[in-house]
Amino acid sequence: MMMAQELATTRKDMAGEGGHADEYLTYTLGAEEYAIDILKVQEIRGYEAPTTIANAPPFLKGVINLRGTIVPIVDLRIKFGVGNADYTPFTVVIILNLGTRVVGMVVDSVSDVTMLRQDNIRPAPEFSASVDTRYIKGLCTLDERMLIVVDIERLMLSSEMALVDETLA
Amino acid sequence: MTIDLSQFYQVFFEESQEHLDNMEALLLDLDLDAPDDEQLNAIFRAAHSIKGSAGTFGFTDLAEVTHVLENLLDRIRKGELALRADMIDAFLDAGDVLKNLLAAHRGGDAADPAQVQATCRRLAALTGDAAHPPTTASPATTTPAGDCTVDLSFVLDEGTTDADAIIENLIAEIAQRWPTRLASRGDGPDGRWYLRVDAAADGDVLRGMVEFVARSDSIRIGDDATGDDSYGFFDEAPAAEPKSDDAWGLFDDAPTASPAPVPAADAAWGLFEDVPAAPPAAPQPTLAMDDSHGFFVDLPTPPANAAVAPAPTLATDGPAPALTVAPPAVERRDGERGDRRAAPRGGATESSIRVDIPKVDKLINLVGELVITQAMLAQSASVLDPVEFERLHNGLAQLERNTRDMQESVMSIRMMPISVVFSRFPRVVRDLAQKLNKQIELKTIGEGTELDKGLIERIADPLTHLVRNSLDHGIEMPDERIAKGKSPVGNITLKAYHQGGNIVIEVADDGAGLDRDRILAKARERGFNVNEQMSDGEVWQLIFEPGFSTAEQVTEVSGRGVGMDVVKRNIGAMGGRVDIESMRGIGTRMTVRLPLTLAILDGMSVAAGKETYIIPLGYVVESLQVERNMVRGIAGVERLIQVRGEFLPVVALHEIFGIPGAETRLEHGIMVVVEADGIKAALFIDALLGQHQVVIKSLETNYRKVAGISGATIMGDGHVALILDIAALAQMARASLPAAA
Repeated sequence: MMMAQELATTRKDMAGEGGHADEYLTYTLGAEEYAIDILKVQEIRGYEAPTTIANAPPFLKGVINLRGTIVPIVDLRIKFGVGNADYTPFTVVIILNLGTRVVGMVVDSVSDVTMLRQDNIRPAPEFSASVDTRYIKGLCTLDERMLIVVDIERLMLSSEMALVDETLA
Repeated sequence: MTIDLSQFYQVFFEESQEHLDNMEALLLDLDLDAPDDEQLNAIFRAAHSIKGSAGTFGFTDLAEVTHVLENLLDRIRKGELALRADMIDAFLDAGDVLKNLLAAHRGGDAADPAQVQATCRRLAALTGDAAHPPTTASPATTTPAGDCTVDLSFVLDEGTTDADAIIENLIAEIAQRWPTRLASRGDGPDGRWYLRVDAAADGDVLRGMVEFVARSDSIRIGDDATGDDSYGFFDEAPAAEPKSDDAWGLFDDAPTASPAPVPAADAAWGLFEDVPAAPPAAPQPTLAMDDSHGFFVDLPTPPANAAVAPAPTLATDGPAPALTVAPPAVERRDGERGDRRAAPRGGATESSIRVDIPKVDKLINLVGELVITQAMLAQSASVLDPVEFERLHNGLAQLERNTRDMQESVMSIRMMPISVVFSRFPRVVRDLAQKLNKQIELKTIGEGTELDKGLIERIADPLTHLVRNSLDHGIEMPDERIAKGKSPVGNITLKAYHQGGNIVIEVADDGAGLDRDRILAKARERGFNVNEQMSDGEVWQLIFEPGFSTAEQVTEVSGRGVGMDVVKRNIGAMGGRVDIESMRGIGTRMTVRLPLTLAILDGMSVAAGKETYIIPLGYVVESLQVERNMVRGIAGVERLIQVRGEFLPVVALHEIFGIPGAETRLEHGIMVVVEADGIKAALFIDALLGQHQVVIKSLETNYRKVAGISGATIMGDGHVALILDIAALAQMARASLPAAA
């Protein structure tokens, strides 16, 4: 398990001088690279087989015991139909802390912690990313790579993910 | 019973202290110009809760002060009075008085009654006399007393037997219009009673009320203005409140002095003490000194008042000489009071501490982790040679013991049987029934049901409200019950049990039931959006609205409409809900359902496919392996098994949960016969694994409700196991039957 904070401290130099910059965690899903606000990330850990939940959608792998807390695990690869949904010792789970809720998501790989300046994030045009554009804050280019900046809280708590009771959502 | 109850004193003290602190914080936070309704309600609730508990435990002085406090708060809350700075001061003072009283009770020492009376007076004054802007009064001027208080004295009718009850009723009746209290009790059948009405009451109306119980020629109404004026200076109340207090400071009982059929000594005491009975009851010299000098203590400007002070009646009673010794008296009294206070405070060392629930939760989680780590270590070590690694093995064995002990201890911090709460009700019911002249039998069922201490603490108040409510509004008077063909003795049943991952606590009575029409009428009156088409359930929920009460009379017991909204709020805060079932003339049942967020459950772990599930042991009737000939099919599907002549629907877990790789042949697996809500079903699983005490974790914290699952738990190996919601599964079994047939 690698703490996100440690990652964060190793990469502080990516942002240009001036402007309002935030730290983002980037991860890949298939060929696409995504960035999420690092403040939403609680930790990153290896994948362990969760307890499956009956009649849950296929992308919901089940729940795990995270130091006494029951945390649901979502496999975004299955949800968005990208990459290979296989589980190896290198499969990582990003544990997100979304307000009062803790949710884990399985991604292909975690790449980086990077500083992104707010004004570098361009509004996303209607395009066909795996993730619905409703949950995309914008796009950002970084060293020839294109990052899709995702509003992860909105995505995870959306009715689409079925992580929250309909009545509460 | 007294001994029984005393074990909860500590809880009461802690709770009340908490309420008081909370009230103080809210008061200080209150915006004078635009008081927040929610905050006012919260303050009111705090006072109400203290009053309720104090009444339960028989701390009448606390109940008395909070009652007056509540009166004023209620009027402010309803917008009848505007909030003023001096009210906040009075509230804070009242809070201090309550704290002192609490401290006194903690130390087992009696509190200072004069102080209590002064506070009550001050609050009552604000309640009744709030129209006067406080600025009109200054310490230099004495306002005539007539406009804020009316004295009332009378002799009860000849042949009156139960004087106390009559007086209580009378006061309650007058109190509906004006705040009233008993100033002095009558002595014997011909004794003269004194009441004080803290408002500009209409004498004729008062006379009309009193005439029912008293000899009409004995009734005297009116305030002794001259007397009050001159006595006013001896007021013991804080100088900040001179205006209203002038009217009835210490000399509340002044009338006793003149026509007194009371012994001379009593009359003298009566001047200084609101309770004439005090001297015989308090023979200690220290107290006596308090009584004789005490009221000079807070004298705002003694020299200026000296001229007025020696009113003729007073001089004979000796306060005039007392005046000269006033300064030393102040000192001595203060010193003495300091001593008296210091002792109980020092003695009341905390025997328990209150800890934040999250801290305990964290501890429990950490211990859980520790158990898992220990299990892992034990497993790793098991492959090592026991001889070569003897010390390691010994150490691990010790670790295992210690961990287990530690886990038990930590768990026991939280779990308590509900009997802790239930056992305080017999007294509540008894006292209340006596007060209301009702006959009640209280039954408690399921006292052994364990629940989280956090829940126990928080459920006590709402339950008390529900029980009091049932008693006060639910159960009818004995003669009324007989007229309806019921037994004169009403029944109140308290019942607790686990159900489908909830703790259910029922408060049921066989009383009159709720009155739909009256609730609807009241709701309309209060401007709620209601209509005739609302279901009973919706109508019943109306009684949880703040300020909603259909009680015709506000009593000390209930009727302010505060209880039920507190109940709902408190239970809601615990993630639970209250349901009401009621039938006119049959009774009412309030069902409180609380989630078992951290309750412990005895569970049976079972396997289906690769998954482990927990069946709450309470639902398990038996488990058995079926033989081919026990299985009965319906429409070609094997849906029933026959167990000792009984046909049980089969709930195949692997079908419902879609578990791959599970045993599908009924005779190869295990049937666990479960019963929930009167429905029996056979749960088909692969194998039984064992029996555990499991800590219930909510799935809903981070996920959502799952049909057929009531919660989750963490097994010894760190994996999550889901707890089956047997009630829901049994329902599914029943639902699937007709479909299959």
